[in-house]
Amino acid sequence: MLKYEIRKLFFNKATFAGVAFLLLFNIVHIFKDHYPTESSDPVYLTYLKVYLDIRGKDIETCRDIVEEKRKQLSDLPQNRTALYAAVYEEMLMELESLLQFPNENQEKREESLKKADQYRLDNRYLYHLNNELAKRYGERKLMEYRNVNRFPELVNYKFSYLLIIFLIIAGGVNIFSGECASGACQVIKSTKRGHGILAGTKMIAMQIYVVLLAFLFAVCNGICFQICYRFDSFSQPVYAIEQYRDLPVNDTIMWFLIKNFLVGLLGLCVIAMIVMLLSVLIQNPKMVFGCSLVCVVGLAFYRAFGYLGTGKIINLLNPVHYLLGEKMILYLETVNLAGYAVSNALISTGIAFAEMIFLSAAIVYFYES
Amino acid sequence: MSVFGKELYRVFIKEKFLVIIFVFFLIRILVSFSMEYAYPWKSETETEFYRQYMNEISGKGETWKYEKIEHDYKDPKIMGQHYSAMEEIYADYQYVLENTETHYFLPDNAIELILIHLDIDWMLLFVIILFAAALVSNEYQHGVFQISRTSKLGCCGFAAKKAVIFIAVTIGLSIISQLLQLFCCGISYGMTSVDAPVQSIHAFAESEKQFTILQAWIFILLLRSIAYMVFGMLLFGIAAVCTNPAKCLSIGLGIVFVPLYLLTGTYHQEAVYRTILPVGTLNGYGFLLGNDRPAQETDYLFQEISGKEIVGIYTVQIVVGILVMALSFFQASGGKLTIPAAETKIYFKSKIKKWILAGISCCVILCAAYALQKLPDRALLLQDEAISGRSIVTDRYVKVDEYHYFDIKRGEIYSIGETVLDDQRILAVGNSCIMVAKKEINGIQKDEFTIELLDTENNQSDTLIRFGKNMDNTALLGLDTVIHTEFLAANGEAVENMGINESVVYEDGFLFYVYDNVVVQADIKKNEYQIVYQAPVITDAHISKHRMYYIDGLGNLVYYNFTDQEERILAHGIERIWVNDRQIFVVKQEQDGLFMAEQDELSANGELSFQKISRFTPERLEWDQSKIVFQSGERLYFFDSAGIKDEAEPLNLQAEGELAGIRNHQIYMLQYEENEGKVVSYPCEKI
Repeated sequence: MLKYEIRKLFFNKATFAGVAFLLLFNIVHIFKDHYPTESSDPVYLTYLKVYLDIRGKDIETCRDIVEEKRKQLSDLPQNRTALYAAVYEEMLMELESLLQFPNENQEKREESLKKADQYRLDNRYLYHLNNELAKRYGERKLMEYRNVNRFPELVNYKFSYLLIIFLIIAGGVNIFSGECASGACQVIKSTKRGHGILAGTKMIAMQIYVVLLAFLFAVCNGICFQICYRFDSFSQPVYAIEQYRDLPVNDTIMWFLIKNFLVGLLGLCVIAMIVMLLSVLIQNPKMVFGCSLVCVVGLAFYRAFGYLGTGKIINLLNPVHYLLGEKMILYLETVNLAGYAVSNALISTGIAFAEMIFLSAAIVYFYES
Repeated sequence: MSVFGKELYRVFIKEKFLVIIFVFFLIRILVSFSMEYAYPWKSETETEFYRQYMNEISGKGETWKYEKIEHDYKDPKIMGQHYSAMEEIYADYQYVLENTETHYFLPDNAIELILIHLDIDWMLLFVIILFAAALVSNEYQHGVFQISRTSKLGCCGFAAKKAVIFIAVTIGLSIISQLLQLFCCGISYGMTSVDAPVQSIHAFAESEKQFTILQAWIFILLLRSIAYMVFGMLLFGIAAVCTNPAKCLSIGLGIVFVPLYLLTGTYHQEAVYRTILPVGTLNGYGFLLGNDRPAQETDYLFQEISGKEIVGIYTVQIVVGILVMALSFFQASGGKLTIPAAETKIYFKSKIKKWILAGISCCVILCAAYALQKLPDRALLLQDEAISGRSIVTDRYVKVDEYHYFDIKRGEIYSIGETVLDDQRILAVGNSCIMVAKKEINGIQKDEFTIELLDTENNQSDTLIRFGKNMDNTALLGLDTVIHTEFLAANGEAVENMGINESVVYEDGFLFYVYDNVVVQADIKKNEYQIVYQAPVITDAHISKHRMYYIDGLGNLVYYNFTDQEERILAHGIERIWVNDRQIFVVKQEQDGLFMAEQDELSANGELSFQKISRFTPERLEWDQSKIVFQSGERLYFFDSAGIKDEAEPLNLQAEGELAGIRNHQIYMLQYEENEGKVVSYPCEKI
């Protein structure tokens, strides 16, 4: 039965055309905004030349190499060396700041330990949270120098989620309402497996559709951004990225991207379930389409404008919040759970599964009735 | 009934399109009433002053207007009370001086507001597409044309009548929508100065077109209506070929969105207007813009579209529209262009009503949740009647620096923030809580922040005021950047208020602070703030009970009352001041020693007479109920509050560190070792 549901959902011209068009649009969008115009820029080319000499070496060696190169410049005429001098200067500044990195971590660790001590008796949650931060800052070490500073461009790219949501809505509207509108559901319900099992099968088929879509777009994003920015390494820790240097994440970039993808995927799965619920409740597919769009836009706007105060907690239920999973992971957003600091990402995962179970039960209930 | 009448009856009444139009107009009215000018302030009084002033000087630049502005701009009283509005008026004056022939003083008015907010009306496009689906797609899809073709008036004649209805309704909707917008904005802002040249609007300063503002609006009204007509023609043809309403909707929006997306860039933004499809023409804003090329750039950001070009663009678009519309006639005459489609019947059924109700309920719940979280909890506010940034020591805390405080009860120094990730700093310490400036959204590079009261013991916080919108626009998933729509007007005030510092005072529901020589009063109940006073130089400001003492650029000690706006110079040649409930202590320029005056002892000329109470010059002075203490060099000097006498040699002792303050018979000193602060205290009884 699953095979037929998948076939019905996947193998039709509209799905193929929609996915192909939006995938193409996604690629165009990435290249339009991100394709570098600096490839012929002499400053960039000079930087690249120097960078290739030092990449992969430890920070101190890199600093010595660049320092040595800068010293050699003094033997050459100034008009030929101005560009190099500027690039060396900038690189040295960056390398010097990286050399300070262990000290900064140590300071943060000590500060966190102090704070943990401050809250030790009064607030177990903050005690545990600060201890966790101290532990994380205590474990950080940069082994080699690689320029991975453009990764945030990929992490912050959210437009593909919008396209996936559109495809989910377009694919999901007909799942139940199409059959009800044509009266086929009356026939189906008279069969042995036409009740809960069929509803369950449809839900599984939809989730497979969502997972495949998310995977397809993630791979597309990865390839496009790799072409645009030529990421140097996926095995570096997240704190090797300049923009994320102060944040308490010690995972490798690849693992962070996978975690981010999985949290986002959960958000998409919940959105798919909401669309299916609307499809069960409303018989007219166009109305389902409209209501789904309104629903998703409403959730996105609530997440955007109501993020503060109590909204921080309420938004843990919001699937659009999961699509911005990197914030939960990067800033170690946590919730006080019986005195323990539990990561929002983990809480969100739990809530997302609970929401899916609840929505599944609702779908089956409404489908049966 | 004629064919026209029957068609109109079918679509508007039978298929309930009238309801959609009614809802559309209702939303249009609501949106129009909510349109407003983005002033760089957040104060009704300032807005009122600006409007009155501009109404008074509206029209062509004249000498008396220039003189009035010059005079008022230099008038410290007016500047003190309406700094922001006068700055804006002065900027308008400078703009008028650039070209007195075409730049007029322009008060707020409906047409200017509409012209500067011109954008593609996506909602109208959506309504037009729905109308196309109801009028055309359904019949082609269900093969009704096959039957009508056999009738006397069928075939192309029938299609032509539909085309006439469709185009007329499209143009009608566009014109009524724009008139409604003008009507609603007209009620809010009036229709003054409509005869001013369009160049009087800053955005259209470089325009070569010789229009008045009213002519410009009519010009845009006509151009936009023609553009919507062309869009209707295109859609009429598409709806005949693509009989599935969903596809019709996608293609209809696509022909506008895709070129808009692809052609919008930094340079040559006029490209959007020079297409064969109605994209920029649906907007119209660019037709009034002039050449825009920054001084350092070689390329144009925008190149003006001349009248001839506009005629050319519209000719091409109308021809394309007619050609595409011809598809419909081809279809009606029996041509085979139809893409088979599934069922369509898109309008309201009685069962849907309950879901609409459910939807509305959800919206209400969401709005209520949103509103609830906006309501600040005032529990902490009741605990501290007043908090001043100038007080370093209170009953409960000692402020060590911007990031550290000393908890007197616990006897330890703590850094502010629950973790090292929190981005906040201490503004002031109160008797039971700390006032902090805090960025709520981590990692978003914005100047938006909140001011909160923090109870460190119970780990509670209350928001006093929010600067900026505090919006996380990443949640819009890039939609705002793709359709180039601003969901929020820019708010300059958040950036301006980042200068908030230790001059801050919280009292009676108001927050006062000084930044960049202006005094801001924030009403925490309304989350509003306004500049209440301005002077060329404000130093050593001391704000309390709605009044302020400060030293101006000439060394005068100035008193200002925010309630009755009274300003007085109390003394000359002053270097530093300290003010408690009864007395004012000063250090005079080029004179050693500490001087004091009672606040209510004004001399005949309105000045205070200061008496020298010590020959030592204090660097810092603090007091409590019974004692006044000041530090001069490495020694601390003490007075009994009640018994200050002329140049009496006060009790003194060796200071070990910097004086922080005196509270409850304890003297608190700050000591620094390797950049780390330490607080030590001595009981007063030791002295």
